[in-house]
Amino acid sequence: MWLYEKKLQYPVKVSKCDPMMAKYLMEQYGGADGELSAALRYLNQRYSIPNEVIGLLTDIGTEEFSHLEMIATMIYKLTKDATPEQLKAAGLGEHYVMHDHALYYQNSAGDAFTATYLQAKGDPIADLYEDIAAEEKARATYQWLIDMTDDVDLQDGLKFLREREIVHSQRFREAVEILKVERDKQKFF
Amino acid sequence: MHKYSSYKTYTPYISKYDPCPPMKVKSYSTPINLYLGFQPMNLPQYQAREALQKGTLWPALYSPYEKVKMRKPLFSKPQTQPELQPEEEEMD
Repeated sequence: MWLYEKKLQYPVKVSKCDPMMAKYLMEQYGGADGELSAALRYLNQRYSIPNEVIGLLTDIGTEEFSHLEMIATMIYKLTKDATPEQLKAAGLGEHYVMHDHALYYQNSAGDAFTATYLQAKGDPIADLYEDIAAEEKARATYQWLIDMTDDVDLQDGLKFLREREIVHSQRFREAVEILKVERDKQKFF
Repeated sequence: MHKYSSYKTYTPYISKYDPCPPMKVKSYSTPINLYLGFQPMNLPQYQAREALQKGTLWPALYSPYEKVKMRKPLFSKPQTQPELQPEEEEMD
């Protein structure tokens, strides 16, 4: 089960009216390397991985949901007051027709989220390497998102999220180190 | 531990016939997780507020990205090995 804290993991501030940035941010909302993909991927892998790593997947998977919430807040702030004309100019005309101002799990190109973004091979090393790659791809996506805006307040939130990807990658790499030792070997001191 | 820079640069081939003005230097991030291995015990920590702002509790894990620095061609002579002044971090 989960406990919910009614606040964001890191404060989200958006200072520039830029609905097109909302479209780009959707890559991290419902994209292949986005926060929803990450959260579902890690939480699902917990059931078929050695005990030592289950807690790590729970912790990181949970944190990904708090990142999803930050991205949602950014997208909401950037679109909530946009007129249909502004949304159309931002490339979100189709989004408006289908969803009005609602958020939707889709990537920056408008493709709907799909479970095929998730990977679960059941092999612990394969899955952890998948997770490391996912973190690096998310880190890169945040870099390109930072490049796409000159709003320093939005950049601040994106930089926080990028740094978290680096820490997560570090932890997954440590998990591989834990699993690759000769675990059944007798220890002599 | 060895020195580490949070990004690397390289100089791609530039043709005489490229249609657009060339980007002489390309760069890519090389964050700390590539080098650290197991995180050592008892590393120095940020104060809570700074840790939140940085996104990590440990200075050793902080690996920032600055778009201006990344995108600007830093070096005039593209064929020489570029030196990496910014964000050079010593780790022990």
